[in-house]
Amino acid sequence: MSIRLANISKAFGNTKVLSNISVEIEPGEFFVMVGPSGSGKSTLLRMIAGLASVTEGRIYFNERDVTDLPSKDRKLAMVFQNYALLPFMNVAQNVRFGLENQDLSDDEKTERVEWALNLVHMADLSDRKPKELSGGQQQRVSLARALATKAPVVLMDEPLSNLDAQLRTEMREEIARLHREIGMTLIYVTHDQVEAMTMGDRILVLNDEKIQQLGTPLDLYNHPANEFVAKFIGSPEMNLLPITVNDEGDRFSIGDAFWTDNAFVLPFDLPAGSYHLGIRPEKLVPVSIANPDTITAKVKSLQQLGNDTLIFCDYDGQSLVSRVPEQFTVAVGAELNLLLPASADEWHLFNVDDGEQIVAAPEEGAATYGA
Amino acid sequence: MELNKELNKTTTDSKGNVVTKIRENNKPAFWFLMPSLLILTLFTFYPMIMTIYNSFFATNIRGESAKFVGLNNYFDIFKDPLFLKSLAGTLVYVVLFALVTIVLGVVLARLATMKLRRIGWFQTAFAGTMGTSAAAASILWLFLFNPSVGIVSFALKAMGVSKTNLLVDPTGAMIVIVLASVWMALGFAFLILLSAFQSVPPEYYEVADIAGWSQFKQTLKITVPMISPTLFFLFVVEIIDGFKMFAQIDLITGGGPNNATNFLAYKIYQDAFVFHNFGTASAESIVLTVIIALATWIQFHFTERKVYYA
Amino acid sequence: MTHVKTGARYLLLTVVAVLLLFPILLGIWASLLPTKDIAAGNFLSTNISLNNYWQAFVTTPIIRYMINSFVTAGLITIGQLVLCTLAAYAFAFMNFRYKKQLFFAFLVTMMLPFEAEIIPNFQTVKAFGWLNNYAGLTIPFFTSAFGVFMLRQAFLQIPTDLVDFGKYLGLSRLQFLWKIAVPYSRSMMITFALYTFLTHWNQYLWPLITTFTDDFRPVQVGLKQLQSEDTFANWGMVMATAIIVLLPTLILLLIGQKFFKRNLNAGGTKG
Repeated sequence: MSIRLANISKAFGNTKVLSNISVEIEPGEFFVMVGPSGSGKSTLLRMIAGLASVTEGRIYFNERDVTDLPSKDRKLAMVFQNYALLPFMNVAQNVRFGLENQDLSDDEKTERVEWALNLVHMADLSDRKPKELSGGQQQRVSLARALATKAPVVLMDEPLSNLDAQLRTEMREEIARLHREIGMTLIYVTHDQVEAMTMGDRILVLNDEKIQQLGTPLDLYNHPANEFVAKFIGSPEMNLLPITVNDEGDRFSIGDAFWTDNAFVLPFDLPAGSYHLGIRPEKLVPVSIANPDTITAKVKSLQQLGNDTLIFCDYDGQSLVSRVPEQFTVAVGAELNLLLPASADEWHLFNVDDGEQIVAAPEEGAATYGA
Repeated sequence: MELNKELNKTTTDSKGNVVTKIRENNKPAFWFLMPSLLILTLFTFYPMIMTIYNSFFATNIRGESAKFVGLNNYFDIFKDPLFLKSLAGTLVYVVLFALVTIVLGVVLARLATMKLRRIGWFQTAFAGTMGTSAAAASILWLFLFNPSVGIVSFALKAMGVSKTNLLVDPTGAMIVIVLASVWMALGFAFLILLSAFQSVPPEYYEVADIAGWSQFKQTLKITVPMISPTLFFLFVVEIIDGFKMFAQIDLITGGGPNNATNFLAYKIYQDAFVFHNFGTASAESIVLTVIIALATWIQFHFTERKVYYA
Repeated sequence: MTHVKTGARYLLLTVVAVLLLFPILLGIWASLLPTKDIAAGNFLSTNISLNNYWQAFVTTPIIRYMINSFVTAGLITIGQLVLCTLAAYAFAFMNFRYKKQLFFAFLVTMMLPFEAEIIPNFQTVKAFGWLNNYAGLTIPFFTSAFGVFMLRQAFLQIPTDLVDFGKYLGLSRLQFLWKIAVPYSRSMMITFALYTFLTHWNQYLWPLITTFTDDFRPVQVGLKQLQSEDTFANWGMVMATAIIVLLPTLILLLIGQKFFKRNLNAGGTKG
């Protein structure tokens, strides 16, 4: 089922939480809505679910206006953050309860319950009460309850946020598998950008009532539309440095002014002025010998991740982080030469005033991404 | 297809009426509340208003409000030495009752939280007086203190005390009433205090153990301050219960001897249903109401905030 | 801990428990003794029998009193469960005009002592022809603000996700109440039911005023009746009746102990 949100706005009293959101979700898509808490992502999901009223705008399922339809008539299933299992029912009864008010025969209900519990590998525990299950198992039951409805749309509201890190990884894989096998339209809300990146076909980034960006995970990572997305997607965060380009547009200094004796060559031409330059940590590479394209920063601390090493540095009062895909040793307090990326693809430029992406380097042919 | 039609219909029907479809419709609330409201109006609000009304009237022999007398009923009761005696006696009783109940409750709760096997049995035993009805309990206590067959009288006699009938002595009667009331209230107080005791995080005691505090000191300096909101709550609840106490008087002392235990609730009952003096009884009822409303208000006000006094 | 110390603690606990329950224990013992032994102060008599109970059942209307109490307390419990649940649901889950004011009105009723309302209530019940009748004994108590608050508090504990789930299923209000809210709060419901039953089983003042015959007189007032009649000196039998009256509540308490322990404090301090 395709879902279209047309100019959706939501206000609680005088507080606006979402304004003018328009999105189209393809049938069978794994669609992730991500944003910090308070960004309105859960509210948007609840409006799609029919649990929250829409202040302005319309919602269409397969081009049918469902804005005023109650939840139960929208043919969707929902998985809740706290599982919403009934403590006094066992696993099978809970799954069956999801079929309450559905026009199915008893046999068919039983069949559906078995089918769904098998899908999530919980058939063996169908007699257990929720409190006898681990958090991950409870979430599996909650998934089964949603799947048993065979609804063409499944909504998930932060379904993994109550699980520990290891279970989260496991359940991430599980949900992705179920989506592959069943092929329903899945709308998934999370505040965790890693979850968003690893699971979604497309990601909608929400903040400040608005859509910040909509795109595939790699779109968002490689071409963030603004500083918010740039910092929100990717861990550790993208480095953001103020730079100033000279009048000729071929050299720049780091900082608020241009200094001829402390300038670097631009990899492409830019109009004169101030910008914010974003560089992913893995694109800020330490080199052993200083050259005209390196900056010399002081090492503040190291984090050894085993496969990667994160080096936190200070450059002229500016915090920088470099990510090296190996075990790397350097003394804290030592000077480190960091090579500024030479490829325009690795440069992310943002407007100083509004943080919007600046499309630069026309000769490199970078695509245009704007709000 | 069938479904499609239905969906479209619902949508057009409710156009321009976005909120009502999904949000609350206010009418059902009325039906949910109406039965309770009806009962409360008929048997709480109306009688309260009538009691106030009656308190301004003198009553005739048939118990009808016959003559408007303004505040005279109030002036009369506050000039009546019997009423003043009743009020004073009630106050003494209520304070004694609440204090003794709480102190004994704390002692029991402390004993019942000792780390011993089968402590649950003792917890059950300590809570055992909770369900005893005032009537049955009164008969048990009456039996204890009965001058001819009571075991207390036998004991006093054996100790060489000449006055073995406590119930004919004003102080003695007060003591018996307080003890019987405490005994009845203790089970409930104990259960409340027990769960308060158990809710104190064990880390506090571990710290105190390391510091070498005695058990007594730990109870006094850690538990009691930690559970002070519960203590306060219980104190007020017992005060309120004390003012309403009726059955023990009716069954054990009948308000005697010499009106020493003719406490407020009992006096209201007697003035109303024995002497048929509804005007006076109504005025006395209002006095009782003011006291209890005040205590309840204090309870709501302070327990809501859960103040720690430590 | 040494064995001696442990032993001393058990001894202390046992002594306290016996002292505390002494009036009941003595009552049970006395109920087994012939009255003439009791009158003689011969408490260590070995003439124990169930004669007093037999006599109580045969010569007094104690069974009738018990039935009256069961009917009265039972009807009140059912009435309060239904009415308080409905009102609590409205306060917990619904939005309506004057909600605050109505909530306050319920709150106020907790501040007004029933003892101060008995005269007009007596006249009301008399006007309805409900004196000396189950209706008069029960209907005035079919709701209680305390119950409404206790159950509302329990309903508010239901996770919002579960409330949403109910909405998503399209449950009607009564379906939600019956299928989710009530079973979810069953522990509090049971506590409340036990509490209500006990309270009204033990009620004294109101039935004292409104019942005149053994047909409707509940057991608490029945005890006074027995005690004030000529059976008064028959202490063995009086004790037997007292124990009979105590028994149902003691059994209820034993059954309901875990519910009381779990819920009374929560209900108490949260109001």
